[in-house]
Amino acid sequence: MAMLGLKDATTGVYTNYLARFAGQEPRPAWLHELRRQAFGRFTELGFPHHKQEGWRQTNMAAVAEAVYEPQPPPPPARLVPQLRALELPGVDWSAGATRLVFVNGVYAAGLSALGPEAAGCRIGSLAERFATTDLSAHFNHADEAGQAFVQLNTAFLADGALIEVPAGKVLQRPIAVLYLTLGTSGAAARGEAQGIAQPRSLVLLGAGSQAWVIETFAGLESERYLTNSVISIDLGDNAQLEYTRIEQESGRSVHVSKLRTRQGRDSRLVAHNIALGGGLVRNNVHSILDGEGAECTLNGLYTLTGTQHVDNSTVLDHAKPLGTSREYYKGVLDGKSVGVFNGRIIVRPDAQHTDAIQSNKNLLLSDSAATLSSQPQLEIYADDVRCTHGATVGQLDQEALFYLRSRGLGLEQSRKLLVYAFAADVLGRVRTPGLREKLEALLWARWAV
Amino acid sequence: MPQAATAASGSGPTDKDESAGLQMLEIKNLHAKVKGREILRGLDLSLKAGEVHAIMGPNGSGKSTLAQVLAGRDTYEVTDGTVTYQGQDLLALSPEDRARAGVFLAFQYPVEIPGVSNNYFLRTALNAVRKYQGQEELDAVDFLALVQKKMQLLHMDEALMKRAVNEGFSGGEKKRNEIFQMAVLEPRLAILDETDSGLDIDALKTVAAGVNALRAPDRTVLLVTHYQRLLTYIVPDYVHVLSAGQIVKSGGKELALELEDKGYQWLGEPDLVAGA
Repeated sequence: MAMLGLKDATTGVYTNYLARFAGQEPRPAWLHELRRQAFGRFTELGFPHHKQEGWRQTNMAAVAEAVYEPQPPPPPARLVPQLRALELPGVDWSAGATRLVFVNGVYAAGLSALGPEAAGCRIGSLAERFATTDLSAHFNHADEAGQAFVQLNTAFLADGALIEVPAGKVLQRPIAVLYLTLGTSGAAARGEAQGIAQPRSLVLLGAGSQAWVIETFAGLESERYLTNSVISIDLGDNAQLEYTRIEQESGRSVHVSKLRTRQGRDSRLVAHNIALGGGLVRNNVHSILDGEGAECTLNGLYTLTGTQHVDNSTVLDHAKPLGTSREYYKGVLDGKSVGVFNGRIIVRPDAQHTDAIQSNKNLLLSDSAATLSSQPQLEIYADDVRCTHGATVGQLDQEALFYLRSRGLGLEQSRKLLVYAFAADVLGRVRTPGLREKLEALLWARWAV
Repeated sequence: MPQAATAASGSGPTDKDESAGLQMLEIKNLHAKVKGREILRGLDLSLKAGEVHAIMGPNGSGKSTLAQVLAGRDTYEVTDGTVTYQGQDLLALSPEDRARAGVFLAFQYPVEIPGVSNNYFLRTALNAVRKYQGQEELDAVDFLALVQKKMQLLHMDEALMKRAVNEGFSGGEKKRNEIFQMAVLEPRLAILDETDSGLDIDALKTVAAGVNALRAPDRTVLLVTHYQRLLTYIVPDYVHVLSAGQIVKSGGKELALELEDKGYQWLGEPDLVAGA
């Protein structure tokens, strides 16, 4: 590992990763090689610096300086009640549901279940496939070579969800995936290791198949840890997927994620991104419309309080003609929170007749303490396209507030009702059976009195 | 439940005799300004229970300011004077407490609230009022029964309850929705701010019928309007003319006709009247 420690060697942090990297169990040759190369790239890249393009508003210095070790899970007798006590709209514990649970990124068979629909599909732990199948093509995308967190994830690639739906199969019930990361509680002592999980997941939809997938990221209250998640989704021609990621991490955690989607001809993807928790959050989305007539909707909601920092950086990549993309992100910012939205739309030379609309709307609840940065970025290399974007930052409508109060609703209740109403259309786009109602109830409880 | 509610809300036969003729609202020397500009300049007005009053006046005379001040809009600053509502200091109450105590303003420009259903909004409002007045809150079933009854009164489509508050409503639908809300909330003092504006004749008749149905010995209606037209359908007991922030003339319903005939100029230049 001669490439180790170019600029951060003095902190000893890379030594920590190197020691862990060297200690990894031997795996199939393809995986070992994949990880080795990824670790090499990660050490060359280093953690993103806040002077680096795309990271100016989100400083990852705290992550670069911290030491992370997976925290041993408590015995199931203690963990299960804790887990069940969490209000997780995306997780269905009832019988017949398909549910994959990962603790610290490792498959927890005892907490997972496969419903009747899973029969005919390949749904389960990714690690179980390693021995028999070389999956490197799915983990080694050229467009991710320069992304340090993806490389770090790959360097420690061990497990995650594998969802493979064969061509033509239409699933009725959602597949729920829960990632629980355990951390450390109490004050952070200098040099003390925090928890970490780096799940890696893969969703492959065969031509003409249809599915609903819900990913939930959760932690236990006020624990410290880093979740660095990567998921790759591939939709065959005419496939349809509604994918929801619900981020409910602990308020003292760091959550970094990468969602990469590739769509075939006439496929349809709706991807919801509901960010509710986390202390420092960076979500990267790269949606590639790689077949003619593909449709992609990115629908996002972030609700921030206290000192939360949530950065959504999305790239909608129109590579083929006649693609349609819709991006609707809404944020509600309270306290001293910081919201960042970077929405990039690329229309490649081949992608004629692209129709892309991007909208980012924000509601600032506190007078001046919360800040929001919204940046659209259009790169259009085709001449016959329609691309629009718009961003707004506003406060509660005083006219509406007075109207509600003039009918007898209290000030606080009126405020919460208007906040809920602001977010309602984002939730209204959720079509996954049973999910919208649960999300609405959760947000209602958060905002309504 | 709805029967108990009707009795408790005071429109039963025994309450009628007790409340009719009692003082509902007493405004004395009211001064109010917005953005540093004085709009109301010493307004006096006295309304008794069971009466219907109309306030007329040219544009800019302060009609809507009066309506907004009574409802508690904080963009208007009251600089002098008193407003006594059923014996209590109205100006000391928050907008929501005024509503809960029975004051209702039908807005000149009803606000659209996307994402909030009429059903949720109105049930929450009604229960806030009922709770404040010591009555039992209505559950969804009883509320629906009440709403259906009131919707018939205003010839409204029930599908409206599922729609967001005023969102995508035509001007007429918004005004009708205001009177519908009033019918459900059963206020003691109803202030109608230019409710006739933007209504065609059929809608005007419907709205007027809705208001007339709510006329009661224990209820006072204050109509704020620019035109006499509304007063053909809702016949007031008293008409007041507001000019430059003061009531400059009061009379019976015939005063409205006189104004219609002669115009506001008949009362003299507003500035001269105000300066008097």
